[in-house]
Amino acid sequence: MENLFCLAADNKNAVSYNEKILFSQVAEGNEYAFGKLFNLFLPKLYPFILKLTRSEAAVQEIIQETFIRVWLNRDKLEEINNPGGWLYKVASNECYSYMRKNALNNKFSYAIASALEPVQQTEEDLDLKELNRLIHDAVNELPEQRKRIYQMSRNQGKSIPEIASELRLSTNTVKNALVTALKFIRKYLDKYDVILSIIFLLYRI
Amino acid sequence: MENQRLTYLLQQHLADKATRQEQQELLALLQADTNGEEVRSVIAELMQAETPVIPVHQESWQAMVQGIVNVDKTPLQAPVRTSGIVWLYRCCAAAIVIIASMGLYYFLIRKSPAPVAQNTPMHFNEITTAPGDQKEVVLPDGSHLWLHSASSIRYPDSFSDRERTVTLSGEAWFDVEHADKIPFVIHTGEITTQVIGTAFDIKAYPAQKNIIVSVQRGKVRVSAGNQMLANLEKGKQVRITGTTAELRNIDIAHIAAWKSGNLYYKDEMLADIIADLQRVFNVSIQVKRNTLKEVVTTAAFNKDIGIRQALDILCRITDGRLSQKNGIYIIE
Repeated sequence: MENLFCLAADNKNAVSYNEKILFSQVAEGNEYAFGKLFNLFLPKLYPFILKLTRSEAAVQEIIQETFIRVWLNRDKLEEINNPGGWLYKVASNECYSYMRKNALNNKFSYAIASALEPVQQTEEDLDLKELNRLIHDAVNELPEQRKRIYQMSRNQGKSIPEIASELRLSTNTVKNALVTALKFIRKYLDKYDVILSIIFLLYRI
Repeated sequence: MENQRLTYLLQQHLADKATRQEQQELLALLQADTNGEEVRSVIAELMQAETPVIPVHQESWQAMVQGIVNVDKTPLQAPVRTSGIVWLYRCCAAAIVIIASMGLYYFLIRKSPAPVAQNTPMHFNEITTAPGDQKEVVLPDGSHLWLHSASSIRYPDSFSDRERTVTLSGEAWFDVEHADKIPFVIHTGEITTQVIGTAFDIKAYPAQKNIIVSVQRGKVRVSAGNQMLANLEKGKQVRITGTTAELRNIDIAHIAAWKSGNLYYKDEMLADIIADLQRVFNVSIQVKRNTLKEVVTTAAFNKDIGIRQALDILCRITDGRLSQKNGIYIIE
């Protein structure tokens, strides 16, 4: 039935239909779908952010922050009406924060293309590592069962039905546990937001 | 503040056409506290209207994607990804420790009594992949493994402090975290493979006549029961049939090439290659002539070329003829 729908739809609808499937797969924690989603949005995000910030390093930073947010909020993707539009909103928030930060420092670059600025891969690795450490701490604070379900999903790449049958739970229970775990992680990260941004700044200057 | 003016200013900026005055105006707008909402929504609008560039070099972004999805993976012990230099240092350190303790280590292992049965029941995890599928698994000690198509791995929730034991059916590439005196042991049927901290590939599908172990880094010992079959180091491969071990050299770049979608076969029997292709592409392939099954050949291709073209190439180099009937590929 789904296939028929796809065939019947015109090209434009088919694209948004696929996009919807992709978002719902990402919502379930499907890494492969997330990679596809990234590749789908990159061709638009990349040139725009480069023109806006005139900095290759800024593009990397903004795109990374955007997709970290998408990934850590993936459980919400199914509820959101227009997840594509939401993704652009997240990216534009990151753009604005970047530009405002620079504007306040009067470092705002206009025609000066900062080609001289080296792109340092290690910086991002450090950000991600610090974030990973915090998430690790957050997960350790989860109740035993929830922690177990979360780790089966993330570490072992198990699907919701797989976890449900292994632990003899309903798929709804597993799904709820994953959503609650993600919410808890986000709350935990919020608490550390200040610290995080300081870390980011330290590594960037 | 009017959106129209803001849109105009941002457009000028994007097109690199803003006058000095317009630049100052935009800067002032960004510095003010009250415009956040509007600026954000105008940026979002302009972003959506952007014409995509083709091509963006997606390959160079894959590391970022991988980093992001790994950010909320939490191996039970401390996170283990380390930066290049530290990693290199650890590798060297690990290699030195391994070499220095090799004799004593084997001595101890061989003399040590059978492990005492655990009192507490152990909980096991079993991860399987369907044909055409691959999965990355993080083990409780932070070791990584990449499970190839139609394979399964079984391991406990947490490892004992004497030994890290897993059971593999099929093929997997392992990157084992170094842990002093806690060997990592992989059971594949009768064969056990023992390591301390290395990267290597094991291919041991149930229907396959032999078991193949290829070492990318560190040292690996392969045995059957108490009988030691091979001690391998970087760049070495062993093919075990029964208790016969055949040692070969292998280019480490080709080890577990399947992880990045490359299929690489060196001096392998057509029957084994076909078995692999069936798993990778999830298709049925029949080889009609027995003599053809035993033809030994070398071939390499990318998974993206598709099964039809892969089989075409194989047929050309083995003088086979390819046909297709009821969805089954036939080579004769």
